[in-house]
Amino acid sequence: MAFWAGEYDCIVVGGGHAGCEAALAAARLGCQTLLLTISRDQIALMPCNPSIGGPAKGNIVREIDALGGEMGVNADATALQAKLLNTGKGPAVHALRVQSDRYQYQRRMIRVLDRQDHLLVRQNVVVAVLLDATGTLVGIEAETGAQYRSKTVILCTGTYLDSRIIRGESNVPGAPVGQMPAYGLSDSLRSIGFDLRRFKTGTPPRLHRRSIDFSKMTIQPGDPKSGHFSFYPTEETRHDLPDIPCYLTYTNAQTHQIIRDNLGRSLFYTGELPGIGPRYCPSIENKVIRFHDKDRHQLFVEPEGLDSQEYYFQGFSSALPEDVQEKFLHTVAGMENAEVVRSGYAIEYDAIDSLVLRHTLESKSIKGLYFAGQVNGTSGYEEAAAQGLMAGINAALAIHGKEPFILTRSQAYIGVLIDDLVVKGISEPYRMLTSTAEYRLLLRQDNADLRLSEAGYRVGLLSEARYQIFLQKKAMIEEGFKTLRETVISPKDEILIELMTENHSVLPKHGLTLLELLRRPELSYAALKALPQMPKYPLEVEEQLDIQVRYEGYIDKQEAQVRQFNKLEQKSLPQDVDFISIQGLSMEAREKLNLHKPETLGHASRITGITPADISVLLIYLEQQNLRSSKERNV
Amino acid sequence: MFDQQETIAAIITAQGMGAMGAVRISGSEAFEAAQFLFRSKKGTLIQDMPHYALAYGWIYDGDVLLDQALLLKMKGPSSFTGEDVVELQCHGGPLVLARLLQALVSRGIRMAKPGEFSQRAFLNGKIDLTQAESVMDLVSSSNRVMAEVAVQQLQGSLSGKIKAFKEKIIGWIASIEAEIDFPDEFPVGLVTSVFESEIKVMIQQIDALLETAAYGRIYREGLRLVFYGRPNVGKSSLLNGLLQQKRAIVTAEPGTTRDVLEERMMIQGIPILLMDTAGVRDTGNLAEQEGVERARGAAAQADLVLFVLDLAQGLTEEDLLLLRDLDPEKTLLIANKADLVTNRVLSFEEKVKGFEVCILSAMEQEGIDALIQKIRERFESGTLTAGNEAVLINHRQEGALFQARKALESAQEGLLRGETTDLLSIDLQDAWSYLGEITGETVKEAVVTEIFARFCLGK
Ligand SMILES: Nc1nc2c(ncn2[C@@H]2O[C@H](COP(=O)(O)OP(=O)(O)OP(=O)(O)O)[C@@H](O)[C@H]2O)c(=O)[nH]1
Ligand SMILES: [Mg+2]
Repeated sequence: MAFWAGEYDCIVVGGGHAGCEAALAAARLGCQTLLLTISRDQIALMPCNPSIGGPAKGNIVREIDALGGEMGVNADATALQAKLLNTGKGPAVHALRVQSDRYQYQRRMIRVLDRQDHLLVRQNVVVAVLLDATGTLVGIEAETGAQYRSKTVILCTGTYLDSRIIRGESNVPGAPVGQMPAYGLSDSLRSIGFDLRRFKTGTPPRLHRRSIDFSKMTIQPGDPKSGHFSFYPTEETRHDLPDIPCYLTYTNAQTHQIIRDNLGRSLFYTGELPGIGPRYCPSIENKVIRFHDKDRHQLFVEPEGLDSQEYYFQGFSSALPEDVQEKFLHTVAGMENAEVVRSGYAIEYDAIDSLVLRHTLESKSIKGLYFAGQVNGTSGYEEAAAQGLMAGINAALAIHGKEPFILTRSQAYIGVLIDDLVVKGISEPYRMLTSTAEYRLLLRQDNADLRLSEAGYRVGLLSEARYQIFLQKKAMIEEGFKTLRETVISPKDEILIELMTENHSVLPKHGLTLLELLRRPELSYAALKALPQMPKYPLEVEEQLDIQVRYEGYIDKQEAQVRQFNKLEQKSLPQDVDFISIQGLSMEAREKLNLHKPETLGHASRITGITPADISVLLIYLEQQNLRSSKERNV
Repeated sequence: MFDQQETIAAIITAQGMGAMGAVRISGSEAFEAAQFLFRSKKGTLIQDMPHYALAYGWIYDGDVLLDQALLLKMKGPSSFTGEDVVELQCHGGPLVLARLLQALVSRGIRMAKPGEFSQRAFLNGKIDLTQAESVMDLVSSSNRVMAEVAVQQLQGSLSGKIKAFKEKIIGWIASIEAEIDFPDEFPVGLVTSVFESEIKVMIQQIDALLETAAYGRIYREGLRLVFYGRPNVGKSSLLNGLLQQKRAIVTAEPGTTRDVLEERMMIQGIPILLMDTAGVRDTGNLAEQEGVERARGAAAQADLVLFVLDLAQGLTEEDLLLLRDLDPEKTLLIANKADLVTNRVLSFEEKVKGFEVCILSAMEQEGIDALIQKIRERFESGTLTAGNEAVLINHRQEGALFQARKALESAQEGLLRGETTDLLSIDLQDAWSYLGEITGETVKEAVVTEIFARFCLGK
């Protein structure tokens, strides 16, 4: 029998990466928050690879951190190895990737959650969203019959909605690491008007350390000097990285042959399952088929934890039957005798169509109901955490009656991510890529705090202590600029002469400021530090000065692009137009526009199926409306 | 703008120019209205004609026969305006056309305003805003409505080129981004030397485009059609035949024409510059020699060479020699004086393989219509364009093209300085975006509203 079990400001359903950030954000913003999860032991689980960050994703983690979220600190505190990627490809795309200890990561996160004021993490399976007769959100109901009232509900159900685990011909209800699926909630969502679709993802086998012959692989050490995700290091994060290495090996012709011979035993290849998989993280069988001319594929062997004997086999995700998996696994160099401790599988789950959401991640149809994470069709821990954070913040702001907090495409990767979800919509699991961000030179990982910490503080999520650290850094950068601008170095300065010759830089005829010197492409902040006049700061401050001066020209160009972009972005479309009646629009555009009711011309331009010609027509339409209304005023 | 469209009509050939006149009717009542005026020779009704079909017949205003006419039927949405369209082509002069229009107006058809066909074409998604813009450029100057068809075709060639540039740039950007997004697959950066050479080539191509993009050249000058061939084959007679007036001197004596004679006309909506030239032969006469040189020069710069030979004499050695230097793509071979032979089968067909041949008689005015049709076909298939490279670019587009070039140049400089590929992509992004402004794929508010302000908004 159902019973009333309590009342909250905010209920978060699911304790994955989205749920954790959502619950922490809401609670930290003073909301009485309840996080309900299927298993308290699997909070912040990394069911796939034990690594966080990488291109675009690393930027997201730093943005989360700058806003006052938890993921960055948690990854830093539990890192086994870190690496700065893309160092040769430009300052905007440096990307930190950390291998975290999967078990420590979970343990630390539950500790943080449990110690958070206003937050209770409770184990229960949520089976329904409760609405009253008028369709207003009331709360949720759990399988025990417990009904909780809540002003807001954030669904972060990950891959658990009616999930099924598939290995070869075997297709059974299931969820990661032996948990049970979230049943009931899918039906409940359908009954209140949500269309659900089936997405899938997969994971590779885990192998026993003692059975892997690492000598046949290439060692992939980390770089202890890669830095941290968090802009606000604590005792916990500042530990020396242990630098546990990863290893690189490859598939070969024999591996591919076995896979090809056994495709008939995959439910996805026999066409029995419709699940749409992630393009950028395909199963090994997909890779072999899609890139049939490639004679080998890279595979990384990654540690799961300091205490753990399990190794993760990145790039080897498979939904083939267990016996086939073992067979082709043993063809890989170094894996001849590998013992499997968990086999790979594909998981299918329900996701909503993210187009039903606002930029706050609140449902357009049901006030107070938010969605975040994989349930919105994304893939990846970082993407999930970012949504959780934004949903949590916005739920809290709504409860307090404040303006929503929305990040734009030119402010943050998080802004790009959410805008893509709610405006463009997605048709396959969405992974954040740098290429989806138009202004990535502005959205660097090194300046996430400069972009967002002020906002994080204003929202109330970034603590006073962290904010003070931020202000200090900002002050140092400003001071640094002043010194660079005002310090003139004489062309007769001996150190300068030496430094210039060393770097093949043409000696100036007259005195140059440090700023002018730094602008020279052949010189860098590090090189100029030979000059005693060069201001000395913590590394991250010098890095800012270096980047902001040396890339000024490009940054200016990108800012001009943003200004251009904002022109359409700020052109609002009236919400009462019937687009069907606008001649000149394509039929598809009329329907899509009527369906999505974009708020601005910029939004409209990003809806799939809306062409530039349609946007021209809309501009002209707006122009005419203006003309008409001004004429009416004159009459 | 977004109101129910009336059916409109206008004369689409220039006033007082040439012999052919045409009227276009566009809108839902186009077929019905035309049917009232037109009686086909075979008795076919317009509604029963297939799409893009021609019918020969007569135009009546009530019981009064106005003229003979050719009727072209185009069914919406695959017509220029996207609506049902009828074009009536007749021989009569301005007076006949005026009466024809009058008759249409009395049936409730409205006279089209300048640019209105294009406006509809834009609203029906047949042309993009920049194509419409080009029409507006011309319409607001002197050439009025008749330029529309031609502009549309010419714009196509510009968009084609710009789109090719854009695709290339997107390819570069994509390869840069793939390296950034998948560092495990591409641990080291891209080799930038590939970009260096490819960007250089693109800048050269843009320069070529900027050079040949003489603004509105076609509309000041028209397509160059040059009559070319040996003396006395009937070049001047043919010019007169097309113009329907005795413009050039014709005598039975070889070497009559000396200087290049230029004359303008419209051929079915296409502005044409006809050029009659001296017959090519070795001669001791200095004036004639100079004329021959000019003839060669004109042929070299022609958009289409009308190579004339005398069918009664067959293909002579000299003819062959001249033909050898001509590009079949840009040449029509005209076998004139067909009236002098009884058997009209070409005996020399093998030797002129690749050349399209048109057998006619300038004297008897026979086969001239077929010649006109052939010219039009060439134009529509796109093989006949103004200068091989020439495209129609207006001021704004030229500016955008210039900006795109600047961005590419900046990318090039960055490469030389050794900047990383990610920074390079910012310049490439800019170049791409400026190119998009030319084709209308990059939407800039200022541009769109300005262009459209020039349309007749009707209010
Ligand atoms: N029978 C016949 N005679 C023609 C025809 N076309 C032209 N002629 C005659 O051929 C002679 C030369 O005609 P033109 O038109 O002056 O020839 P052209 O090629 O311009 O000659 P040049 O200017 O000297 O190079 C004239 O006597 C014309 O009447 C035709 O189709 N049939
Ligand atoms: Mg002549």
